[in-house]
Order: sequence, then C-alpha cells, then structure tokens
Amino acid sequence: MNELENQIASQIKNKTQRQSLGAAMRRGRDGRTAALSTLKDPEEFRRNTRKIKEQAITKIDQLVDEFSLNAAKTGARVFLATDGTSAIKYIAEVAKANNAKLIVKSKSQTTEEIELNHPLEKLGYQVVETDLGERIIQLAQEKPIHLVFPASHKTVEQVSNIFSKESGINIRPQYDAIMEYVRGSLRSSFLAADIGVTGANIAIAETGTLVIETNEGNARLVTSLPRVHIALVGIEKIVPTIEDALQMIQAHPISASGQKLTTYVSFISGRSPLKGEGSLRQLHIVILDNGRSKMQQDEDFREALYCIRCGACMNICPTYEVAGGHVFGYIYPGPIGIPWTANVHGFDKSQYAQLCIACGLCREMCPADIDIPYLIARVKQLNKEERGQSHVNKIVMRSDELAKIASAAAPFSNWILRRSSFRYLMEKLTGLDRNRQLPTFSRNSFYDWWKKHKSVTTSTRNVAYFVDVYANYNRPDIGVATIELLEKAGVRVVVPDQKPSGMPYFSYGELDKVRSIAKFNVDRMLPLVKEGFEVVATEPTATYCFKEIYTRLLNTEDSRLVANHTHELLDYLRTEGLTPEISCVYSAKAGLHISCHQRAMSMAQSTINLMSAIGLKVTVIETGTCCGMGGTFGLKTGALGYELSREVGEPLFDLFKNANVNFGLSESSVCMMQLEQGTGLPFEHPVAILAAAARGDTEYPQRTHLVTVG
Amino acid sequence: MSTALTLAQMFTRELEALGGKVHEASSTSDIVKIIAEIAVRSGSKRIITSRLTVDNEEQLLTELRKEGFELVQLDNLTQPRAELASVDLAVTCADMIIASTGTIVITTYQDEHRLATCLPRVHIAIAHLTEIVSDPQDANNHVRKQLAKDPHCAVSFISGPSRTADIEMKLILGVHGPHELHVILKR
Repeated sequence: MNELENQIASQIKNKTQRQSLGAAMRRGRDGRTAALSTLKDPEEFRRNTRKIKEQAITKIDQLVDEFSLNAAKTGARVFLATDGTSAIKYIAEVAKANNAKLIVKSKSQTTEEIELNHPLEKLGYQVVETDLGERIIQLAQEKPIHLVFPASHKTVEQVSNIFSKESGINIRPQYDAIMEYVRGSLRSSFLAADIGVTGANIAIAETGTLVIETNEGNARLVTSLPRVHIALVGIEKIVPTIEDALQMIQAHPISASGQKLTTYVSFISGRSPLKGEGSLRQLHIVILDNGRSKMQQDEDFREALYCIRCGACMNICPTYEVAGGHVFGYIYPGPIGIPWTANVHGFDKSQYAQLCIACGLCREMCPADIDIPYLIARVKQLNKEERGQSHVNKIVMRSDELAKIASAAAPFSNWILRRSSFRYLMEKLTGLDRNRQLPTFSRNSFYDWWKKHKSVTTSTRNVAYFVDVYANYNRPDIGVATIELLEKAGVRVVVPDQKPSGMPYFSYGELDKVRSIAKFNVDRMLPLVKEGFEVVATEPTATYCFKEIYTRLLNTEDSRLVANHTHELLDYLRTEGLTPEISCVYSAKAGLHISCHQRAMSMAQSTINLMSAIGLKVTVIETGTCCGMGGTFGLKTGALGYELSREVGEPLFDLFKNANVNFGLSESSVCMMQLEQGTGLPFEHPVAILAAAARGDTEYPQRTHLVTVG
Repeated sequence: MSTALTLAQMFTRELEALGGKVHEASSTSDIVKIIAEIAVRSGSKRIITSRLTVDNEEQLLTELRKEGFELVQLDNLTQPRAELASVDLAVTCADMIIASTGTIVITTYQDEHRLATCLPRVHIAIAHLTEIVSDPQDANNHVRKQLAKDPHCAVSFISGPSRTADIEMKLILGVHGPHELHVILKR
C-alpha cells in the first residue's frame, strides 16, 4: 500500500472527524444556498465575479505595477517577492530592523503557503495566530483542515485541553470558559505586539488599498495596535477598482459561510498615525508571485487564479469529507487545492489528486465558475506523464471493452462472477474489488436488437441516440425502451456510429484519449445535428460529456453546436411535449437519486415530473453530495477505491434505508450499482418504468440487476 | 422619504438578525437616554466618544457626565493603547449605513479613532438617516471619496458584533471586537 492509501484507510475509521467536518461542510453549503437566494440574480452575480477575476488575471502585470505605485503613494513600502524564500527573508529583515519580539497574525492562507511562522520562530520571534481557529491549530501543531473552518475537526473538549495545556490552568470544556480565556490571553498579545502580519482578501489597484475581512475582529487589532504592519498579498488578489472590491467582499462570505458580508471589512490605505508614534508607524506590503505568473501564462492553470478562497468547493467534495484536509491537501486543501498545490508547491505534493472522483460538484459550487474538475484532470495527466498510470486504472478505463467481452460470454460471465474464488482471482489480477457487486451482463446487446429493429423512417422530428455502455451490454431493455418511447411519439431515431463516452479516461487524466473520443463522437453527430437531429442519451454522464467535457477539450464551434443539441432523454421528451400516453399508473413510493453529472444539467426536473405523472410518489433523497461511486472509482480494490466509495456512500444508504420507499430510481448506471448494493433496495432506470407505463404493463419493472457473490 | 423609511427598516432587520441592536432617536436627549440605558445595563463606567456629528455634542457629553459616567476624551490620550483598552463603551458616528447588509461604515484617519470601535466591549454608533444606501455597491463613491481625502485612511464596514464559530461551528458573539453593537438612527 502506498502512503496515501494508508492514510485513507485510517481516515475511513475516523468517524468523529468525518462527522464534525461533515457538519461544517453542510453548514457552509446550506448557508451559501440561503444567501444566494437573497440575491436578485444569483447567476448574474456569479458571472460578474468571474468577469472581474478574468479581467484582472489577464492584465496581472499591469495591476501589480499600478497597485505598487499607488500603495507607495500612501507611504507603504512595497516589496515584490518572487517566491516564499524571498518573502520570508524580507519579513525577517523588517522584524530585525524594528527590534521586534512579538508578532501577531490574523488568518492568512498565503502566509501558510510560504510557511512563514516556522522560520520566524527559528529566528527567535514569538509568533501568535489570533484567529481562534488558527490559534487552536497553531497550539495543536497541525495544519488547517479546511480553508475557512481550520479547526472544525476539534471538539470542545479537545480545544479546552489545548488551551489548558498552553495556560497551565484548567479551562472547562465550555464555550464561555474557553472564550473568556482566549480573549484575555490574546488581548495581551495584541497590546504587546511589535508587528502585525496579515494577508489581504483583496488589493485595489486604483487606490493602493488593502481589503481585509474578518468576523472576529482580530485583523482590525493586528492592523492597528502594532507599530509595524506587514501584509503578504498574492498577485492574484489585485483587482482594478473599488467597484470590483465591493463585488468581491460579497462573493467571499456568501460562498464561504452564507453571510452577506463578513462582520468586519477594512479598507486600509497606508498607515494611519497613532497618537505619540508619528512616523514610527510602518506598512510593508509584500506582493507574492511564487509560481503565480507561471500559472497565469498557462492557458489551463490560469483559471485556478480566479479562485476567491471561499472554500465552497471543499464543502461539497465527497471524498474530502472522509479524507479531511490533512490528507486531501498539502497546504491548500480540497478540490481547488489540487491545481494550486501542483503549481506553487510542486507536482510531487499533489498526489492527493487521486482522491478526486470526477463527480464535478465542485464546479457547480464555485462562485467564479472555475472548471475545477478539468484543472484536476490536467494535474492527473501531468502526474501520469511523470509516474505512469497504475495497473488498475489501465484496467478500469477499458471497462467498456470488458463489458463487451462479458456480454458476449453471458450467461457464463454472470455465473462465474458469482464465484467468490473467481472474484478473488480477478481482484489479484486486475485490481477490481471482489466485494463490488457487478451488474448482470446481457447476452443480447442493444445493438443486436437494433440491427433487427424496423425503424420509423420518416418524420419531421429526428433523434440520434447515444447508447453508451450500460444500455448496450447490461440493460438493453433501457435502450429498447428509449426507441419505443421516441417512436411512439412519432420520432425517427437513428443510432449513429459512436464510442462510449470516455469519462473513465477523464477521471484518470488520460486527456489525449478523451480528446480523440470526443472528436470521434462529435464528428459522427455533427452532420446529423446540422440536418436537424437532436442527440439524446439515457446515461447522464454521457450527456454531461457532450455538454461539458467534449466542449472543453475540443473548444470548437462544432463541439458547442453538438452540445447545444444534446439532451437527457426524459428532458427532451418533456420539453418537446412528446410525453407518451399513459396506459396504467403505478402506486408505489420511489426514492430518486440525482447523479452528480445530472445535477450539473437539469436537476432531474423532467424525471420527477414524468415519474409523478405515472402515479409514483417520488422523493428526492440526497445528502447534498455524491453517492461515492465516482464512475469506475468504486470498482477499484482497497482504500483508494471500493472502501472509500462505500464510506462516502454510507449516509446516503442510511437515508434510503430509512425513507420507507418501495424502490430506488436513478438514471446513472454506476449510481444504481452503488446504491443497489449499499441499500439492498431494487433500483430502476426511470426510462424503463416510463416505457412500461406507456406499454400498459400492469406491474412496473422491479428487479435487482446485480450479480451477488457467493 | 418613504424609500428612506423602507431602507431603515431593512437595515434594522438585517443588523438585528446579526445580533446588533437598532434604536431610534429624534433629539439629543433621546440619544443620551439610550446611551445611558445601554451603559447601565452593560455595567459600563468608562465611556469614550469619537467626533460625534450631532448638533450639540457638548450638551450630550455634559448630560452623560451628569448621569455619572467617566468620559474619556479621545484627543487627550497619552497612552492610547492602554487607555483605550480600559474603556468599557465607545460612542462613535457612522458616516454611512448600508441597508441590505445591516452595515455601518466608519472612516478613520487616525488609529485611536479606529481602536475606539475595536477595543471596548460595547460600541454604539450614531447614524443619520440621510446617509443610507441600499447595497454595498452603492457605497462606491463614498469609499472613493473617503480614501482620496487622506493617504492614511481606514474605511471600516461593520455588520454586527464580533463573532466566531470556530469551535464546533457554535456561533459565539464577542471575540476580539465588541460584544455588543448598537446603532442609534437619528432622524
């Protein structure tokens, strides 16, 4: 087992941490949703945030110059640091020149990035973090577990122990007692400090102003009480105008915690005098590059600089919740931490990229609409070029080919997959976990049926069906149901030459391979689309590939044209008014799981609508994050696969088990695999049920589709 | 006028949701009464005032003294850090308020004025209803004007008492900054 696998294996057992971190994440998510709902136009707000960052990063050099010039006009001394070492050296020199002893800090991720505290302590300075969470972490000698909630994994008992140890007095494990102590002890530090070190949430070029946001009010003291204020600012924090800054001070807290504004927002220009100190007061602004210029010049990684450090992406990341920021992170934790770590700390530090299961939820959360899943795939690609692809990844990426073989060998393949001895051997040879129940393979594929099928040959409505793997080799009845529903509505359907979506290749960073698949599929669909065809798929991930991944990788007008004409089947039927005549209704309770990729597209509104129309009582059952299977991730053996995917899924399994539903619904094949095994409930694809209702089947299909081992 | 009233109501709702308290006053004696009540309830003895933009500042200070409070003059400080740290309550003026976020805006050009809004446990800000805007974006010209007045400047947006949720996500009011924030809206 490699180190990461060991760490995950131990995190899977760490239920307390997961619970407390999970609570913090949920609070962040819920707060954000509530705050967004108070905005007049949340989408426009998001576009504005992105636009400001895009424009600022494009002219980053110019903004650094403009900011430096204007900050110097306010009397600030500005130093441009190319890397962490030069920043630390400058700060140490300032400390020495001012005969400093005590340095107080307010929370700054950028000082964490360059690991400022340790070298200053080695030089004999006392460094005190003043944000409560950061102080807890500093005394515990840990790193923050979350960008915004650094100590959210600590219980009140642990916190009281930490402060009791620091003070030598017994501090009761109660919020009030802890707060009383912390206030008193830090107040003394504030008053005695020689230097205050801060980051900056924003820097305004037109006025040379720093903007610092805190809820506790510690940054206000750090920037006013000590004689010397040093601010470390990443070049990506600079925006052109006050108007831009006013947008950002809202974007930060809305996404981070659901506040409309952070309690204290300070716009600081120069160093205000304090009675009796006159010209002794100094402001030093250290502008940090540390790999950022290089990122800015990379056409992909440039986008990571749009990050506003709100932490929203880690509030929804399914594997981060189990792994925690110490494992799912180097210094920058969580999804956006992956491209940041790779660029500022080195690719060797970004091995935790393997924990990304490509669910794509982080992008949906990002206030700057950063294509985080793509940036992570780029990191995986570069890691792969350096170290090669693992054996198991090579196997699971070709799961479509394996499915083809298993289908041709059915029912023998289903029989042998039931044998635990075979699954053991298979695990050893391929790395597919023996405990993962696989779907039954069908001897007759969808294509076998289609070849014999007499299609509708003319119609004003034309559709190209994108079949993908599952509806071909495992559940041809879903493919057949699709054709039935469309043809009943008078639609002419063709099934053009195509390759499976290629999502597994994306998940493991084989971007060249995905690009060639994307090109193949787009080239096949393009002439049809130009003739007026619409493309439909029954696998949400396939639709997602056309809409999100192919367009990103190909970046052509053609790929965007095809994407605009690609739909989820049920969405197409409903929005085009092609809903079938229903011959019978089913009175049953169904729990619906919306796959992550579907969330990015439609939130399954059509599915809910159509399933309700045939009498089902549909409840959406969600934890707010992913089911944990992550495509082929949950197939792989061990802690970096099956075990982690199960651990992620447990809370969702429990919700399903306690929901009192007759069966589960999902359109994603892998979600169905994960949930059927995890919940013990039968799971069905809504298209199969809709077709049954249209056909007049008195009973809705309700089978289990997995091969149970043993 | 009706817009102003609506904005004032919005401001009150937002700030109070954040744990702040909004009072209304139409005269100096109203203001004195409100301050005195807060001071007594919070057990505050030493009160500091910072450049109050009210019609009759002297009358206000005299009346507060009459109520028995010890008034500290910001402009007479010799050791601003220690003296400010021993003050219980600060009365300041907001130069603008933002309705949709429950925010007061206070510009300071000297740090003893800023510290007066940071160090005491109770902060009371007097705000004028003529200086109210709807959203943070609407404060752009004001911020630009204030920053341009003096190269050394701090514009502080304050939305509620100091807070943290760093231990077990439990919301606690009053960390390093004031535990109580009161705004007196002057008509």
